[in-house]
Amino acid sequence: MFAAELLKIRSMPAPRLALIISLALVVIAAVIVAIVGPTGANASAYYDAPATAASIAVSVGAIVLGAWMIGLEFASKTMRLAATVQPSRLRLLAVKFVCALLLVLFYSLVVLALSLLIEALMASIGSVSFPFSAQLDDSISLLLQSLLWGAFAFALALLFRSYTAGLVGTLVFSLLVDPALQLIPTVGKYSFNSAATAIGDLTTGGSSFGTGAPSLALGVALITAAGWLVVFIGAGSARFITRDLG
Amino acid sequence: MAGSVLTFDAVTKRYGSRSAVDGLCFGVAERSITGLLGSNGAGKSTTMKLLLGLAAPNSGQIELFGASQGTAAFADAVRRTGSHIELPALYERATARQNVAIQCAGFGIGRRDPKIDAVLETVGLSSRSEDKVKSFSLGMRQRMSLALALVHEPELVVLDEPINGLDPEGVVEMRELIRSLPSRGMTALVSSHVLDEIERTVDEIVIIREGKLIAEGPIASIITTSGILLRVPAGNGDAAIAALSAAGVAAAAFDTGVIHVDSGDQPGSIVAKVLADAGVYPDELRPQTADLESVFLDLTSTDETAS
Repeated sequence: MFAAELLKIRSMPAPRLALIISLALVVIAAVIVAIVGPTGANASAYYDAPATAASIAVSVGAIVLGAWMIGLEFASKTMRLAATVQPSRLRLLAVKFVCALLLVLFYSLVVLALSLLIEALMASIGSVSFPFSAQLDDSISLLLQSLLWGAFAFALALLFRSYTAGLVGTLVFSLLVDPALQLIPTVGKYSFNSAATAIGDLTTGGSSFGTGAPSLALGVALITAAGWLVVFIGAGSARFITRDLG
Repeated sequence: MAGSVLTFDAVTKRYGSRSAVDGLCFGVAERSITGLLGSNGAGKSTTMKLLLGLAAPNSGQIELFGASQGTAAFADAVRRTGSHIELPALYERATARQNVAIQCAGFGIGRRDPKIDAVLETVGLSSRSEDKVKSFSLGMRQRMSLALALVHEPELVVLDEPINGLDPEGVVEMRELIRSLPSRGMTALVSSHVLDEIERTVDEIVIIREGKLIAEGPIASIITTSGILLRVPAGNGDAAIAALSAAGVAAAAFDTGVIHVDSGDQPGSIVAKVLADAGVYPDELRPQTADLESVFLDLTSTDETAS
């Protein structure tokens, strides 16, 4: 089953497109800042611009690919086919979930690694020192967060049995629902993004890209993120396993 | 049923208050070609989904290769099937070869395995193997779907409306392909609305209506001889009917010169003698065989039959 899922990743254009577009965004940001130059005395813009482009691209790309891994079957109506090749639906879901995480991990690694190279190149073009260690920490933080958001998108696509609903639902959740939850006193710090940010901070000590969400202890953050994922993946899995595949 | 690869025993599947399949019992014999017939909404597709584990029955027992539905062994049994249910489901943005390779990978068959080329050749798509499926016509998609159903050489092939969208040449090829499955060690369960095609393709038929079994058996036993057809010279029709009635043989005129004789157990030679004695010499005298369409319509339109 892993071989079939990996072959789907290789054969379909979506993963390649996500990678190409993400890298293009990083390059475009670098080219713009190289041509226009940083505003004012903000010389760090030479490497901040491609880094910001990479962070936005990876954040969105992880959601796209997480939802795609399971949503592909619903969008192309091939879930029935997949379920006759692997009739154990629990095993089918487990394989797809692992492949979704591997896909997001590979994609994020490639984009962030190439982004680091471009950032270093831009720093040399701008004749500014490049804080490699800090940028690397930020990249690892982004990588961890992208995995969590990829898993979240997978869960919503599974729950709604739709690639589009999973993708849009996760974007709406991350941009509207989660920030709104964070406004609630006490409870707000247990939002999914708070937990994801706190887990990302594992490598940065609190300096990562983020939304300024309240920080959680790592253990609490792990339990919180796992709790959110268990609820959504559990609900989606229960629906998938117990209902007919029309 | 001895030698059955599939048995349905009092299987019921309800959607809300409506029974899509209602106490259905039938079997599919090994290396047979069985036609599953029924009107729209009769429960054909639901029956196929049930046997593939895509839907779960509310009651009753399904056995596939001896494994009962709901057991781990049933999941293994489903992997011994190949299926095409309703519209072809394909990865549109992948090529034909990639679609087959993905299916193969699920069964541990490598993407360079000669089976991939062989099955594309079998369904007549080898020249389009590198084209994306999104550019395919409905008929080509049907062929692709059949390739996916056959590539891992399953023991049971389940085909729902396999000739939809095929051109006449494709229909003939599909028929020959399905007819060849038993010789390759496979069993086939085929549904179709095209009764003439089913009649030419299958050995056994299962007819369902409103989810219930109304007829099952070898096609030859269901399509039986139902009388004798006479064609008599113009003007002799009344004389022929009168002679037959006098001999105690029921007869009815369909059109000018065409008479249907309910001959019962009497052979055609007796009917010929009765007519000859009356001075009527038919232009044509032959046993009349009910075609599958008329049998099907009779069975599916009569309330008493279903009950």
